Amino acid sequence: MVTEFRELKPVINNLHKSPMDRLPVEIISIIFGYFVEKPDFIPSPVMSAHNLAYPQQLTLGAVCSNWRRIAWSLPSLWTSLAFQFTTSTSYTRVRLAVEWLERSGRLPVDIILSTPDNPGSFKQPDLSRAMPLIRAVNLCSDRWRSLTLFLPQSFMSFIHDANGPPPMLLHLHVNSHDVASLDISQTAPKSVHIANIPLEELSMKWHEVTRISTSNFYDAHDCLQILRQATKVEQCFFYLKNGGDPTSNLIVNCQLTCLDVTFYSGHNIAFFFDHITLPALKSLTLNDLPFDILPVNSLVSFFRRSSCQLDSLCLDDPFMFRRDAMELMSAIPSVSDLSLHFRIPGRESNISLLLGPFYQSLASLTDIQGRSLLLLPRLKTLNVSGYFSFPDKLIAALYHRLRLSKRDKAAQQSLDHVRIVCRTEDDEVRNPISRISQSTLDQILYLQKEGVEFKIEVHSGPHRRQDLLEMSLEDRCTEEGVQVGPSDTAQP
Amino acid sequence: MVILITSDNVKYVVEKDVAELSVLVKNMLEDIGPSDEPIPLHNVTSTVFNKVLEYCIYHRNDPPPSDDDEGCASPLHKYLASHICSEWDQRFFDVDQALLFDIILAANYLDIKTLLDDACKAVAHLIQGKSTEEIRGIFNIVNDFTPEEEARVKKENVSS
Repeated sequence: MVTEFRELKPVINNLHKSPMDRLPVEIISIIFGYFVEKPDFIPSPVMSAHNLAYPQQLTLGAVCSNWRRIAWSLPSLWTSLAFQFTTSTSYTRVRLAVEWLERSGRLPVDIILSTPDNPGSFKQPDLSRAMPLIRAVNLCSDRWRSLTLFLPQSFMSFIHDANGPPPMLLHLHVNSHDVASLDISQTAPKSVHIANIPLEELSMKWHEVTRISTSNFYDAHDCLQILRQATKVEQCFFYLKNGGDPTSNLIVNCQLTCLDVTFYSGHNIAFFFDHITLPALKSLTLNDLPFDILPVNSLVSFFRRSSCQLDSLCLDDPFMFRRDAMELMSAIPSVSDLSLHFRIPGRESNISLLLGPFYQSLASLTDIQGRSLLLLPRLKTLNVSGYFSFPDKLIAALYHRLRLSKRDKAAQQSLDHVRIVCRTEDDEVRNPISRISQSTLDQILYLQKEGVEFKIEVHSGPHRRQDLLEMSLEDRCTEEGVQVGPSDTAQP
Repeated sequence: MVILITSDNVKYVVEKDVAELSVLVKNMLEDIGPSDEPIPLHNVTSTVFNKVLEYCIYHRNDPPPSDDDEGCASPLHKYLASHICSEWDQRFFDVDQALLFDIILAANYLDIKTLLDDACKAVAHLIQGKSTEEIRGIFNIVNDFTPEEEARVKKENVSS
């Protein structure tokens, strides 16, 4: 019966010709290519690992022998592999993944290897079972286009660039579940993201790196050493803890344009900026500044030493005295985009102490040395957000700044966008949102008339956003019974 | 204007810029030089050519596809470009399967890359998210695996 079925099969197939049979192989290949395509802009390893559970490529190979032959012979279908080793990973599954990589031929490959991150679990996936795939990954090291590793030490230490360096590794993403080492000493990636792995345990070439990010705290000294080696780096996102030897050499990096640093303590900020010079820096973000006085001397000295044309400065919870605020702003006259964020609730009285010096400096016409000039003369966009009541004093400062600049022709002001977000955890029913006072509204209307755009919002909870300016204007309208808007008479 | 004759002897007078979306026609025009001679399209019937012409007229002003663009475009841009056709395109490809495959073959013969790509995407879309059995049903494909091959396929699917 089986023999009879086999003999009849070609006849049956001929009688029921599929429309796909009319297409030449190269067109079927194009269709298969679109069928398996996935969005590679979503780097989440969880999603990618999940995708492997339903690989479209295997679906193609399970339709008929012709499709299987075509799919198996197309290297471009097999260039992305996401594999999660679990305690139940079978030899067969590992073998499938090895074959998967083999089918990719000589094309560049994107590989994600992971294990579930269960810190409390004593049960680790079986390394011996994983070894054939790890060896296959190592053997295609010269074809790595992106390599993402979410592995424990026991697995990580077996990853090597065994077949030579990849000519152009675009992304390296290493996240170790425990203290691991990774030796890919011939590899020179373009973009690096690291977490948990100690920097001294990561052996690779840094000279091609243009983007570095970390997702946990690293010693400031180690990060400075990376910046010394990564001479082409343009963007850096660091989490910094601990300072280092104060006698360390000064490091100069001439390519870095964007630096985003999250600090663990004030001491680290001073150490880091005392030991680096960044002449090309355009954008600086200092996150989670410790509730400590900002080491303004170090920052000012850094800006003067670097002679950089900084465009954008973003400070999280900055704390400084008025003189320091003025000194800092004097050191960065090129800044056009300034953001101040106060993210921790329950510190309103402190925040008003912190913001006070900024407001006073903004409305000042003399710098720290008493010279007549407007601080931050190129300021175009001001963004202030945090857990505080509406900052009337900020509006007053901006109003006075504009009046001063109009009076003193030499001091041009360029401000055109102001965004203020007041966050509150209050229940609106118990504590209704206070409206903007009449005198401040007048100042806002005057500024609007002069070309400054305002966006003033109250955020209560993660989703509720209200336009405070609109609400205040509506209330005023109702009270006065007239339409209010920027007009010639709107001058306080 | 360019005169084109389909395999069933239907004559079309087409504007040159529209006709030249086909690399085959463009090359032929370059080879024969200025002439009123009709260009025969041996492998395309008028039914299919009507659709091809409709596509070419609609897309006549699109920027030509370039390899450079592909290299520079962001992954998001490339993904959207490869997955999202306009509403017009979706309606255009909402035809019976036989005609869709005829359009593909015509686009391949006439060498109209964008039409070929879009039509292939439309076919890929037909089977997206479908099971092996459903795909066989859509294209009338017979499962011709030997019992040994069938066992291996099953093993792969269980393991994955």
